[in-house]
Amino acid sequence: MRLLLGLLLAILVNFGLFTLMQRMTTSDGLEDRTIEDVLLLDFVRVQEEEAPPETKRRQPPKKPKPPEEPPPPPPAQTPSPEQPDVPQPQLQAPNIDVPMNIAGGPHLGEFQADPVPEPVPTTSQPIMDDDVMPLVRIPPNYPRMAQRRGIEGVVTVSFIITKDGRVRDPQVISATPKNVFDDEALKAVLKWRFKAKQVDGQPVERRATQEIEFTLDR
Amino acid sequence: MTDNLFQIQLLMESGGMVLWLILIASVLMWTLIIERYVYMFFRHPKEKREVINHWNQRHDRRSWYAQQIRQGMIAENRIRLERYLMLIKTLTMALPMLGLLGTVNGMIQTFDVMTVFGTGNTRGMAGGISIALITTMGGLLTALSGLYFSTQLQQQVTRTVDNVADALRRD
Repeated sequence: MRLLLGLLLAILVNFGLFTLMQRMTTSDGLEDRTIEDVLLLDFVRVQEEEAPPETKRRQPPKKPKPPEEPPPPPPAQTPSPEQPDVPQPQLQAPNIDVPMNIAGGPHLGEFQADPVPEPVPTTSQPIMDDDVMPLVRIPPNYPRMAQRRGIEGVVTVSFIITKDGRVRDPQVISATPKNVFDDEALKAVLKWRFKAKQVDGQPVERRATQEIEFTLDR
Repeated sequence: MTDNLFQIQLLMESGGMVLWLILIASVLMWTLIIERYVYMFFRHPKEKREVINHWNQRHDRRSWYAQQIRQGMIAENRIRLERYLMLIKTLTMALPMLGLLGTVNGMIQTFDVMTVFGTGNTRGMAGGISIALITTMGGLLTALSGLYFSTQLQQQVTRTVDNVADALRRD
């Protein structure tokens, strides 16, 4: 009798227990928990918004102002000197535009085809092509004495380019100031190499002038 | 109510065989616990009164024989009170073990699934793991629910036996 009553009640109790277990296993509580989590997340997010990581944006350096253009030089007023009435040889001068890569050296002026003396009238008109092609250009040494005294100058050198591209018979045509830079200029010119001029497939000697500027770096 | 029953049926299905064992053991344990309380509160006072009356009707209550008879009456009373108590205690101890058994069973099923299907079949693995966890939970929950009442019953039985012994006065 008592056992029967106990059995009935025990079934009730176990029903309650297993209902509890079922509640624990189902995801109803999980949903509530996720809602709480969302709120927590919100809170965290708000905190993050309060202190955003400071990002330093790199300021690009400002462009330097373009240098003001120098005023155009006043037109030279010097009267052209009276030209003596001398027949000028009519020759085309090849113009060499060679980049000078070595910095700090004396500036080498532009090439200029030397006026070749009038050829013999019997021969045909020589064909002058413009390419005086320097292969090696060694800047001259700045003379010690001139460097010490701060002298700058220009030397114009005339020389002959041989068939194999070497330089022969350099001569100083004009120099300002005189006798300061001549030796160095001649020495330097002698080391230069050119591409020999070709006339009808044959290398030909030719004459050329070179202006060598001696300027000091400041 | 019916919805709840349905849910519990689903739970039993996901718990497997061992959960049924746990349910049976738990029902048995709770039957005994409730039977004990019913006995203690409704039946035992009558028996106690009968014993005391029986004792009081005796003329000789001081002799050695009377003492022996008293001891016998108290022992009988104690036996009646302590009935099923050992079984209840054993059941409260056995229920977590049953839960562990279910855990091992579920893990074995999981590894069976893994040996056959590899780790790709997560659904099959989840079935084994759910058996493992649900049986463990069932065992622990039922054992915990019975634990307090089993110890409380033990306490009450010893106190009641002492009361009976005190009631049987020797003078």
